[in-house]
Amino acid sequence: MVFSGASTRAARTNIAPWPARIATLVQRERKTRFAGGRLGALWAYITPVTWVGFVVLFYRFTGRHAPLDAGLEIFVAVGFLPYIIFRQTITSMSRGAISNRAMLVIRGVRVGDLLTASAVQELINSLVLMTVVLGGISLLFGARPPADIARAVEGIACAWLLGVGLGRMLAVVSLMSDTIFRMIPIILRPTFWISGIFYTAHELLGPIYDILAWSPLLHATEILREGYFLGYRSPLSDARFVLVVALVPYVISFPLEMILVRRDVSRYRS
Amino acid sequence: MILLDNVTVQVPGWRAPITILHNQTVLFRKRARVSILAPAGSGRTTLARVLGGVKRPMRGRVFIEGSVGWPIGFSGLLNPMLTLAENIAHVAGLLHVTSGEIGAVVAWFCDSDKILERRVMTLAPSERALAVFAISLAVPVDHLIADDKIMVSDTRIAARSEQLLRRRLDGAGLIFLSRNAKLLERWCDEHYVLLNGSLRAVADPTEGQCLLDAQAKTEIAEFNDV
Repeated sequence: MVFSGASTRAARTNIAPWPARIATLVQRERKTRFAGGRLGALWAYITPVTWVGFVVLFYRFTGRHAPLDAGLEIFVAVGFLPYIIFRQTITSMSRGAISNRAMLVIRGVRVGDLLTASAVQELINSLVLMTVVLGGISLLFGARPPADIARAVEGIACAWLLGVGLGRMLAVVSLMSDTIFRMIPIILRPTFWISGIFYTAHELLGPIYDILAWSPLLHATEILREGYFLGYRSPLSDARFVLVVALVPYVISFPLEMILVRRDVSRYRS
Repeated sequence: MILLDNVTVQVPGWRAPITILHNQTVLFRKRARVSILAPAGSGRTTLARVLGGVKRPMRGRVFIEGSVGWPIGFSGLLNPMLTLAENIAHVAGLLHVTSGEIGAVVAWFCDSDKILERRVMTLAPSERALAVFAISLAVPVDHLIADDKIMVSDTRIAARSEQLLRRRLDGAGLIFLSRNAKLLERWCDEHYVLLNGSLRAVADPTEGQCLLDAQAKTEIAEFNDV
């Protein structure tokens, strides 16, 4: 047989350095998330495209128009993307931490590695999703390309960072509590209505404006709109506010992770 | 070398934490073959995780010199939707070795190159058991950990699994936790029994079993008195 030269001596440390570890876990995350079906990773794009399609149909049936000088399809897609990215990031971080927890049996692999890998994978997905959906609409419906690509990417990044911040905290708590894990979709449900999919900040009036001004997801959506639609300026597009809101749960997640690891309060038996 | 320095290990219980180890200081020397006789439900898997450096003790410190494997035959690393080769690539990536190195051992052990291209969900339970056994022993480490499983039960493969295990034990230590005194005696030359939160050194696992039996009788007597 077979035993290679390396087998004659034990490795001094049997764990890959952090970047290689994350790259491996990202690869595993990519392969496992949509493994099994024929369409595979295409589901990452089919789901949001279907959502956008349904909302466009709803607009058409109800006779609504885009409140900006833009096609209905591109307006809906730009409004939808931050919400989808935010939500998918949270969901995949929570699921990734649970589905890949067996990898923690390898000394040196940490819960934080699993969460970072999910977040990185979701960032890649987000950028591809943005390119595919917005590029596809531009090709199919002749929508104009983004006016300011950097600002558009900033909007996407804000939505992703919000997802990473809240997702990290919820993922750690989900490892402790099945109740919290099952509550995540319920917790996220209202964000659909406060993310600005159906309206712009300019359309909000009085107390509704005052309340929704505190929605970081609305800020992310408006930042993306500013980047996408030439001349559009929103009163609610503060990236620093989004960053602070994302940082709060992100920072909280670290002591929670310490409690999870040190007190061994995971709901799973490793 | 693995040193438990004043280590206390607890797991959450229904009302209060359950103590598995209490203030234990034990040194497992380099290349030592150590048995720990521990009955079912005594915290064997938790203790294996502490010794493998993947779980922190509640108190005290664990010093590990050299590399440690995960429990031999641990099956959780395989994702059933992926091929064996893909699963091996992920394990290899995390261990910073080439997947070819692990794949060659698995293919030799399972007596088939084609098995690598099969999805894990299509493998028979016995094939899966062979694969995880081979993966867990494919990369040499300084300390092997065995949590109840140390060999594959398939008699056709027994000689091959013993060959692989002995090869890996060449120059490495073993900590074998089990409730099977005979198996412990076969593979180890230093013996402990996990009794009331302490690791007590014994001459052989049979002596450890006598201590566990005596404790069980005492507990039954106390229960009957109540």
